[in-house]
Amino acid sequence: MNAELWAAAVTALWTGVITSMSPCPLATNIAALTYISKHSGAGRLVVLSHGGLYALGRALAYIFIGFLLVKSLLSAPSFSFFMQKYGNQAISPVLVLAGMYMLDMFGRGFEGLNLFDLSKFKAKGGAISSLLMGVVFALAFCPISAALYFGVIIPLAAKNSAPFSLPLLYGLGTALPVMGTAVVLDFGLKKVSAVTGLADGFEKYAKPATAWTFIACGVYLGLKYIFGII
Amino acid sequence: MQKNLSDNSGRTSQAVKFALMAFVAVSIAAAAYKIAGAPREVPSTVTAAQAAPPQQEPVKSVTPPAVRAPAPSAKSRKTEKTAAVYYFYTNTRCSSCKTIEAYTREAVEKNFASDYKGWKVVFKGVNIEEESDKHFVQDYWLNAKSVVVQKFSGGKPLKWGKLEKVWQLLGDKEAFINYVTEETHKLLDEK
Repeated sequence: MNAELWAAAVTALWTGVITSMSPCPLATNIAALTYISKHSGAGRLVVLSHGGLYALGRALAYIFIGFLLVKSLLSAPSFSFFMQKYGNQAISPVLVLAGMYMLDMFGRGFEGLNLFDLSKFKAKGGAISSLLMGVVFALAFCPISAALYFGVIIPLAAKNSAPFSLPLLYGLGTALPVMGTAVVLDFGLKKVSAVTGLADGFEKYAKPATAWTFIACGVYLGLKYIFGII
Repeated sequence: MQKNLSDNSGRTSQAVKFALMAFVAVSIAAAAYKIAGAPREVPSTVTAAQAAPPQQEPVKSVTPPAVRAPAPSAKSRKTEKTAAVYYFYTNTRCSSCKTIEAYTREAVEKNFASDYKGWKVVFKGVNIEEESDKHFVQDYWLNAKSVVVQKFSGGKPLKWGKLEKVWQLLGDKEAFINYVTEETHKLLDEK
């Protein structure tokens, strides 16, 4: 790997981090953080695994879009503005419904909407849910993610003939702050639990807290992007 | 007493459930209404030639209405050199977007208050969701809210440049303003 490609790789990763640190994706970042942290009561590396899968989900979405752009199957301006306009609108009801599902508002036996908590995969810790969440949240383009992805990453990938690695690094970068915070929180919670023995208390409140965070984020996105109130 | 409390809690939870369901239903209906009412904007399938970004050449043979030079006479209008620093936005505003607009406006007002080597530079905010301004998306190959500098000679569009780094310099106002100023200078200095 030459120096130019190394520089491009660092740029892609750092651009992802900048994207994630901006105010625009805050709602989806909070939702992702609470969802990943929800697993804090489980084994040692569970939070890290869910964070990794979330990052992989985001990266896969960016790689897929990059592939479509490179193959000229999509017009970048049309697609970018379409996703910026409708991506967050589509996510709003999904988040509210997911939160309601976590609160068992559709009844305990309800299996029709377990996008975020696939019972079939519970043995694997609901791994696919974090991956899916990453894909879905990446597709909800904010102005900054659209500007940096389409304006910096795609041209950089084209220039360096790296249509997979640079979008992959960008996707990982966008998930890094959430993943890092989740791991730090997990570490802190485990320390606190070890001292105070409050682990059971955390597990008891983690699920409803995650559910209400999803609902709050969904309502916020709806008020902002669908109704234009905020 | 305990039964009453339990009944109240059950009723509240039902009310919350129906309120959330109503929110979801109204959101979906409102979004569908907006999509149905909007002109067709589905991402289009394009040919390879269309998908390639355009070269930085004059984009249109006509002067965009927004930057028509206010020339007093036909003769001076023919030779007047102007440049527009466009900020392109959409109906959905965000805090970063407002910052970009404010910094760009400030850069132009502060550093181009008087002509630069005979070039009269103006700031112009354009909503690309307005029907009359939608052509800018394809003209400048816009992917997001963007800053573009376009030169004109007597109303005829010349070279232009997109200022891609504005999103990366958002956190540093001084660097942002310097970047906009320097890039505008560079473009105006080019033959």
